[in-house]
Parts: sequence; structure tokens; C-alpha cells
Amino acid sequence: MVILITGTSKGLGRYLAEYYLKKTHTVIGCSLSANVIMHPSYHHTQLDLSNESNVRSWVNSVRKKFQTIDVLICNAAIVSSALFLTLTPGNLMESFLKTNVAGVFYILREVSKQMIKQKRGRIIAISSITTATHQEGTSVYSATKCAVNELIKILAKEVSSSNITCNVIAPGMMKTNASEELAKKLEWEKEMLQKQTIQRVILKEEVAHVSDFLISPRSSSITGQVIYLGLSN
Amino acid sequence: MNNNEAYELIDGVVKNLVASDAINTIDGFDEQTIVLGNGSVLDSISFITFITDIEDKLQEVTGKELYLVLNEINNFNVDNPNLTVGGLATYLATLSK
Ligand SMILES: NC(=O)c1ccc[n+]([C@@H]2O[C@H](COP(=O)([O-])OP(=O)(O)OC[C@H]3O[C@@H](n4cnc5c(N)ncnc54)[C@H](OP(=O)(O)O)[C@@H]3O)[C@@H](O)[C@H]2O)c1
Repeated sequence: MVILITGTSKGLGRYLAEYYLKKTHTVIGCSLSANVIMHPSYHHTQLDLSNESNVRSWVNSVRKKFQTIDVLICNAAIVSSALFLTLTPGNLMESFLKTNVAGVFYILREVSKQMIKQKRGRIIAISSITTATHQEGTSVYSATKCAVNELIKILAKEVSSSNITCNVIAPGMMKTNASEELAKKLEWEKEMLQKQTIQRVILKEEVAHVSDFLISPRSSSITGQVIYLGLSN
Repeated sequence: MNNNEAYELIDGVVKNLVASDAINTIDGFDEQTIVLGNGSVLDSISFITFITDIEDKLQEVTGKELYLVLNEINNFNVDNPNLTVGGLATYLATLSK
């Protein structure tokens, strides 16, 4: 399969890219920074997902080179800042919107066009349990993840007749570069875990397990779902 | 690309889509044919395939990476979208310049 994953330079995105490469799939990835995955079946592009024309050109070139995109995993996001809403600078809020909402919107739009043409596809977006835990200090981040959930739920309906499923994986606290940075500030990790039903760090393997489930041919009737990891619904 | 060439490009894309069974045959296809909005000959999903193919063809013909932006089309109303083949041809001709 040809699997396109955004944000593959580190954290969950890198894990998923390497995981699917091990399973002998072709993985196409991107990040703001340079390539860190050296593998013959991995194809990296350095780009800013919040730039509409960059995303269009990238997906266009992927379409031409690979003819198909079987799976899209929208993983890239800004995962930083533990500031209360009252203290959040406007430009920080705007950068969240640009990457976490507009960036996801552009990639969803361009890839779903290709999937509609090929009449099949699987789309997964990575959101977060913070949309349900309403944790202090996550207002802007959580708002962007709520937007992602909604984009996916509506897209799921719009493209269902083309055999495309769209789902969200919403993990609890994971150990990644982003969360380690946050954990240095405040008592972030402790506070996050206290809000979870399963009060431990969620493993990246667990996210990959859900993603395997969603891209399995047997999951063709599962769409528009948000699957929480670590939180009861 | 002038209006006539743009019309030919659209006609070619439609013929290909019909040949590949992506859309049904369109009776009396001409500049007045509505491709988006009330009375459209294409459903929403077919319109997306149609637009994607138009963009691909446009890039092939002009050698430039060109993308359609619906709200740049003259008189296009996002709240009540309506687009004819003639309107699209005029837009493509402008876009390709
Ligand atoms: N960590 C957690 O505890 C946690 C919990 C729940 C959900 N999540 C979600 O899981 C996903 C991955 O998070 P993570 O912790 O792995 O984050 P991370 O370690 O910060 O990695 C984020 C990735 O996204 C890329 N990226 C960010 N902005 C980009 C842009 N504008 N254009 C292109 N690439 C961009 C980064 O590239 P560069 O390195 O080049 O900047 C990096 O590869 C996110 O959607 C996050 O919201 C994380």
C-alpha cells in the first residue's frame, strides 16, 4: 500500500512511518525539517503544511509518481504551549489554527480528490483526548483538535459513496518530543494522566494497532468515528 | 489558451470520463450545460472527479501547475454555486494566460 503520513520527522509520525515501512508498505512523509528516515521505500518532502500551494504541489507530485494513495494519516500538528487562554498571545493562536486546522484541511482536500478518483481510500486523523477532557491550558490546541474531529466526521459523509472511510484516533498522553517538552513545564504529565480513565502513558504501538484496524479491508463500514485511547467515552 | 480551446479541453475531459464510466453520457453537451448547482448534469462526487481531471489536463496543456479556485470564477456564488461549461471555459482561458 501507499501510505501518506504527515509529520514524520519525530514523535508519533516517525513511529508510524517506520512501523509501516517494516510492514513493507511505501511511505510518503513530510515535515518542516529535513528527512530523518533512511529507507528505500520512504519518500520525504520538506514542506509547511499550512501553505496551501505547497500542499497542492506536493500531493500533485505524489499522485503523478505513485498513481494511488491508499491511506492518509494526518498526524502533523503543533503540540505545544500549556498557557491559559487569558495568557495566550494572538499570534500563537493563529499559528495553531494555520497548522492544526488549515494544514489538515488542505491535505484532506487534496488527498480526498485523488481517493475519489480511485474510488477507495482510508483517511485517519490524529486528534487528542483533550477535546473531551477540557484540560486547563489546552484551549487553543483542543479547539483545533475539535475542528479536526468535525472535518473528518463531515468528510466521512461526503466521500462515503466513493468507498473512502474517515476516522479519528484520539490518544491520551504519549511519550513524544512534544509531550516531553511540555512535561518539563508545570506538572503537565501528572495532570494529563489524572484526567484519563486508563491512567498511564499511551504507547505509540497502541495507536498503530488502531490504525491497522481502521485500514484493514474488514473495517470498510467503520467511518466518522472518534476512537479514544485511554479515555472512556 | 482561448475560450474555444478551453471548451475543447472541457469537452475532451467529459468524453474521457464518459468512456471510463466515471460519469453518464451527457445529452446535448454545450456551453449552457450546468456542471455545478441546480440542474447540474454531474453529482457532487462526479464534479470533484471532473475538476481534478480538468486541472490535470490544464497542467498537461500549459506545462504550468494551475489550480481551479471556484470563488475566483466571475459571478460564482459560494452560497448558491452555479457553473456552466461556458463559464468554466472563460475562467480556464483567463487562468491559463
Ligand atoms: N504527544 C502527545 O502526548 C499527544 C497526545 C495526543 C495526541 N497527540 C497528537 O499526535 C500527533 C503527533 O504528536 P507528537 O507528539 O508526535 O508531535 P511532535 O513530536 O511535535 O511531532 C510533530 C510532527 O509534525 C510536524 N509538523 C508540525 N508542524 C508542521 C507543519 N506546519 N508542516 C509540516 N510538518 C509539521 C513536525 O515536523 P518538524 O519536526 O519538522 O517541526 C513533526 O514531524 C499530533 O497530531 C498530536 O496532536 C499527541
